Amino acid sequence: MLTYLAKRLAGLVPVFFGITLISFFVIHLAPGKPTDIQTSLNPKVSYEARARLEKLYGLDKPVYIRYIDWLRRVVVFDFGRSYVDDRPVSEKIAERIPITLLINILSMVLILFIGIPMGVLSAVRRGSFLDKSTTVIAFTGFSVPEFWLALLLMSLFSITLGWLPISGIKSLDFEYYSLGAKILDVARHLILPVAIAAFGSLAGISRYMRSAMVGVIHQDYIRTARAKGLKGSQVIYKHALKNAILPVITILGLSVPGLIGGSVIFESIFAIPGMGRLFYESVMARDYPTIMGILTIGAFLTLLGNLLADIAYSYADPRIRVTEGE
Amino acid sequence: MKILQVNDLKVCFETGTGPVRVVDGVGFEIEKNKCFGLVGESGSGKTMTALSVLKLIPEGGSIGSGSILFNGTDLVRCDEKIMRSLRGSKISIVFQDPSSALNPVFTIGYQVAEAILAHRNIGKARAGEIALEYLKKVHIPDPVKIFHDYPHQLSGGTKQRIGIAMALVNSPELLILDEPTTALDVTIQARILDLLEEIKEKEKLSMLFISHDFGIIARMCDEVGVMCKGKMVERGTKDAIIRSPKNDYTISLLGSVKAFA
Repeated sequence: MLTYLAKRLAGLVPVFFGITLISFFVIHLAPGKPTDIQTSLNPKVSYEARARLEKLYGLDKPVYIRYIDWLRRVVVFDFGRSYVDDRPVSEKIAERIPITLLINILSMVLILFIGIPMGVLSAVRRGSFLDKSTTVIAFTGFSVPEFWLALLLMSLFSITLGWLPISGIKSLDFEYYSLGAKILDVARHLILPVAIAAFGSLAGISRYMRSAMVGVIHQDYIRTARAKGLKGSQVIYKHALKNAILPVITILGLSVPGLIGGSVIFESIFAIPGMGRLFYESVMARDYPTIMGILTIGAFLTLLGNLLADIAYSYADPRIRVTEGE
Repeated sequence: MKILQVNDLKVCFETGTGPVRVVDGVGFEIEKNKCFGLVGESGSGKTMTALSVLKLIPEGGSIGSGSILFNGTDLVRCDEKIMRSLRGSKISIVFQDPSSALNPVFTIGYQVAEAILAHRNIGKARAGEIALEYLKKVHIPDPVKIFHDYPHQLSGGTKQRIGIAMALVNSPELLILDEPTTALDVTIQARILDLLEEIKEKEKLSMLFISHDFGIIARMCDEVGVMCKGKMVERGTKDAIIRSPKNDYTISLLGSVKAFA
């Protein structure tokens, strides 16, 4: 297992650098430079001043030299400073990550603990009222745009009913609250964003789980399990679920990078200062170091997620488990 | 003394074009410690007859009418709880395809021990010991290693031996064998049949043996029922059926065996 892990990790290194290479060149394809806002839009800036600024940012050098420079710093975990406010990129990311991570982990938990049982139940009781209603919910989840649903829920819960705060992650007088009240305040602010973040994927996972489960229930080994005299619940939750969960593990692995990705749309709607908005703002400002910083972390997590999924998969499925000596 | 009496059994499947009767008025009896053979071509309703005895008919199908008396109790009228207590303990089944009949994600030992634990109130360790004992009984090479193996690591013949061990662990009174050798190579087939003959002699159990192969039926069974299109067209002792078949279908079925021989 250790040699397998080492091999897999070694294989990921070139992929990782490949991703950073492509990202670096692609973001430089977009028209405009980080200096444009300060220079082109300001008629008073002289040609010399602009050249000086470009030199300061290192923009006078060819792209491949800049990539090598960037790479040299990144291998010692230095992502550079933002062009926008000259703060270290790592610091900018670090202050945005917790809230995005919190929202996404909460929604992931929601997805797992609601989506999987929902899928299993509708597979077991195919054609029942429960199955039909989850099908409707799932397809609604697929088709309804997040931002639209978010606005409707805000309108209902925050304006009409006044139960929940409308946006942001804390109230204005947050600083004066006791610890318990602070937690409650954040929780109240998170309800809508987390629900919205979960809604779409919930539909996906429950459908996925349902079809995997339906496929497994008709397998011969399920009949064998029943022929042994096992209880219905043992047959479903032990024999069937352990087989049906396998493809879902892959999906979960793929959603690991999404944990820090954040969503521009719902972060904007709910005024949440998360990663999604940081990325959007950086792209608009052509803030290359920040963009690259976020992309690098994203690439790393994607690869890590895949690796984790593979490991989890091999624990769950003996057929692909790597045996000693292979 | 009869262990199983099936009378006028009808099994229907609901399809888009209306109900289809796959078993149509089948009746037969199995004497204690005897082997009854059900023979017929694919789709003649043999397997559905066998699954009716365990009430494991696939979704969409149901027993329309008739009775299945097991030691005098009508299984058709039994509820799921009683059926569950009978499945794998009093009535066991060995399925046709050993590669798909074992769950790929559990070890052999686990799957065999589970059949024991479903019916007996004993510890897991003890169940494991019994499971291992039965793996030895069905002549599995290196049973201790195979106990910890997964199905995909084993050959078809070994898997079928495990299927047989799993069916035997609770010393059933009736063992149903649904084409237990069809999915295997000819040489492996012969060895599995040897094993089944040995079990028949040692274990003192009754068998319902399903096959489309008259050769195997002739070797294993005492009485034979011939099925065609959901009906039982002829029934009698093995010798009577093979030496002097009355029904045209039986004659043609026997003829096809002789043509090969």
